[in-house]
Amino acid sequence: MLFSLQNVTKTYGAVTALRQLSVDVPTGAVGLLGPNGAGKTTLIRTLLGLIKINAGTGKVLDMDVRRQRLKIRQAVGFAPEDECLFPGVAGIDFAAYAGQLCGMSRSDALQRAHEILNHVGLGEARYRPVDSYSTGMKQRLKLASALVHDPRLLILDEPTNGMDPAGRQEILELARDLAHGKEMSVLFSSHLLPDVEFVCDYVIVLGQGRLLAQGEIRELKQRHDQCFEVRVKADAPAFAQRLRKSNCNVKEQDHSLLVQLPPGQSERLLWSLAAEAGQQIRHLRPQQSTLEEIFLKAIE
Amino acid sequence: MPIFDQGYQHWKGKLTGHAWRWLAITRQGLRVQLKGRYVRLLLVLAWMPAMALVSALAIWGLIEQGVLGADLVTMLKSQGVVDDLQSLRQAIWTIAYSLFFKVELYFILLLVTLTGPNLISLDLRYNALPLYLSRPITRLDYFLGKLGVIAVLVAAVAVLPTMAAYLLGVCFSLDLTVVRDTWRLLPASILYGLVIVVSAGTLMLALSSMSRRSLYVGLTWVGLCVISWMVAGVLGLVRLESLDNQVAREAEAAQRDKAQQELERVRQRPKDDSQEFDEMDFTQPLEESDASPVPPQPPVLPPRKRPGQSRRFDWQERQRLVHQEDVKSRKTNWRPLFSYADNIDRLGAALLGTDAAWVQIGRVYERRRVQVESMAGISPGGWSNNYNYKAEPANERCLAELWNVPQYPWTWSAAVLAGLLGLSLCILSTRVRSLDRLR
Repeated sequence: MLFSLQNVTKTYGAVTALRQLSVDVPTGAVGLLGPNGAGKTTLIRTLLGLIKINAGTGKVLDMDVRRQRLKIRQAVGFAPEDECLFPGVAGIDFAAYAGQLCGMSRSDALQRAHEILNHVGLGEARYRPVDSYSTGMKQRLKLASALVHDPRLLILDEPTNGMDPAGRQEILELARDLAHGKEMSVLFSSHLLPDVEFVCDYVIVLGQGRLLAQGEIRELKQRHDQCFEVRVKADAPAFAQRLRKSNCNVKEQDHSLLVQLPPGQSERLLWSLAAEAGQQIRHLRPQQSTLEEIFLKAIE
Repeated sequence: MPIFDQGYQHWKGKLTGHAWRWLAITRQGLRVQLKGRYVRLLLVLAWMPAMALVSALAIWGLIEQGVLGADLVTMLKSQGVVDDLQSLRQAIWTIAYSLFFKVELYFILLLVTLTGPNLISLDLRYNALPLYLSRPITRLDYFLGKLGVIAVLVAAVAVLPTMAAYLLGVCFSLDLTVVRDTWRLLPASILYGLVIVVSAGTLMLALSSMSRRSLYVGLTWVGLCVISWMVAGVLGLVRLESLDNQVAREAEAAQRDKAQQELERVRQRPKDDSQEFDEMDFTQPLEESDASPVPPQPPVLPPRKRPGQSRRFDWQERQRLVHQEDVKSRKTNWRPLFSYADNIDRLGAALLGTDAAWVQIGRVYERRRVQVESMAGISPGGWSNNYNYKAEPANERCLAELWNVPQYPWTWSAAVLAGLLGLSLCILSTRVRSLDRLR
C-alpha cells in the first residue's frame, strides 16, 4: 500500500480542509484530482508529515504519519508547486544541497545531482544561477531536487505548470518512466487531466475535503454496454423521438445522440429502428467515459 | 541519445545520521556569505585585534624571559614594587584578552550586521521554506543551521584567534607554568564566544524572520545596537549630572554649616565686639571703609539658593567628589543595562575576570606611586614644599575605575540577555512556522 488514511480530519480555524477522509491507495502512479480548495495540498502535507492532523490515523509506505515524520520525508521526494528556489546558487549546487539536506555526503550529493540533472534534461544550464532559469528549467530543477535522494514515493504538485508543450511532454514521460519502469511510486497532482491520464494508472478525486471517487483509471473509463453514441445522416431529432417511443433514454448532443437502451436490449434495436425510420446510421460506438467526465461527475 | 545517458539509476549510498543534518545548512550559508566582498574584507580586518593580542602575549613572554625591558624589571624588583613577573602573568594575560574582546565585539556586531539579515528573510522572500521542511530535517535543525553560520564566523574572528594566541603566548613564554596560571582564559573565551553567538545570533535570526527584506533587517539591527547604546549613554550622563548636583548641594550645605559655626564663634567673643557685631546688617554686602582700625569682620552667610553658588566651589575638588560618588555607586548603576553591547561586555568581564586583573595591576601601580610620592614629597596637585607630606593612601582599584570596568552585578546583564533570548525564540517559533497553515 502506498498510503492509507482513516478518518483523517484537518481544520484550519473555521475551515475544514479534510473531512474524515479515509482512503487506501496502492503503489504505482496515482493521480490526485480535485477542484481548488478540495484539500489536495493539505493531503500532500499530511502525507509528508508536515502538518498535525486533528483526528484520524494514517500510514505512508507503512510509516505512521504522526510518529514517523522524518522517516517518511526521507523516503519521499516532493516537488512543490510554488517557486522555492533562492537566488545566487547554481542549479547543480541547488540539487546537491537538496541531497545533503537528506543526509548525503557532499561528494555523493554532487555526483548524484549531476546524474539526476542529466536525467531531467538540464544540460549546461546547471552551472548557471537559478535566478536566470526559465519556468521550465525551474520545474526540471525542482524535479531533480526531489529525486536526488532516490525516494520511494515522488510527489509532484503541478509539475508541468508553465512549461512549453515539448518540455511538458518530456516531464510527463519522465514521470511515467519513473512510475512504470523504475519501481518508484508517483503521486501526481494536476489540474491538467490529460497529464494525469498519461502518467497515472490510478486516480483519487477529492472535493471539499472528502473522497469523491477513486480507482484504476482503466476501470473508471470502462465501456458502458447499454449506452451508445449514435450519429445519423438525416433528421436526428425525429430519430431521437422514435427511440424514446421504444423506451430508450436519449440525450441529444451537438452532432450525435447518446442513447441508453432499455434493459435486455442490444444494439440490434438501434439498427432495426433506423431501418424502420429510413435513417442511415453513420456512427455507432459504445460510450466510454473520459477522465474529464469522471472528474466532473465526481464533483457534481 | 548520448551513450552516457543511462536513464534513472537508483542510489544505494550511505546517509549520515540525523544529528548533523543542520551542518549542511551551515555550510551552504557560509558558502553564500563568503561570496560577499565586504564580508571577506571585514573578516580580514576583524583579525587585526587578534594580531595585537598575539603581539601583546609574545612581548610579555619576552619580558618574562628578560629578553625585553630587563633593566626596568630589575629596577622594579630592586625597589620592591614587583616580587616576580610570574605573579602578574595571569593579570596581564587576562587584561590582554579582555581588551581584545572589547574591540572584537564591535567587529562581531558589524559582521553579524553584514551576514545575518538575509539568513531567514531570503528564504521567506523566495518561499524556500518548503524546500527545507519537506526534507528529513526539523525546524530546530533549520535554526541551528542558520545559527551555525553566525557561530562559525564569530568563532573564526574571536574564539579561534584567542586559542591560537594562547598557544603562541605559551610558546613565547617558554614556560609551561603559563598553562597553570592562565588556563582559565581558554574556557572563558570559548564560553564568551558562545554567549555572543547565542545572544547575537538568535536576536539577528529573530529580526531576520520578521521581514522579507534584508535591508530592513540590517537597519533594525544597527538601530537596536546604536540606539540602545545611545540611551545607555544619555542615562549615564544624566546620572553624572545628578551626582554633580548632589555633590554641589552637599558642599553648599557644608559651607553653610561652617559659616554658621564661625558665626557662633564670633558671637561668643567679648561684649564690645559682639555689640558692634549685632548692629551690623548681614544682608548687605560689606563696604570698604577708610576707618581704622578695622572692626572684626563677621563671616558672610551664604544665601540659601543663590544662583551660581556652586561656581564658588572648587572645580577640581568637585570633580574629585563626583568621581568618588560615581565610583561608590557603580555597583548599583543600572543604566548600562540599556545598551546591548554593554550587556555582552559585562558578561565577558565576568567570565574573564577582568576586574580582578585590573585590581592586581592597580595594586602594583599604587605601591609604586605611594613609594615615589613619599620619597619625593609630591602631591597629586604638583610639587609640594611640605617635606612632611604624606602620600594619598593606595587605591588598588584605581586602574579598574580608570578603565571603567563594569561593577554592577553580571547577573543583571545575564537576565537582560536571557530576556532577549526568550523573546527571540518566541519570535522565531511564530514567524518560521511549519507548513501547518492554509497558505
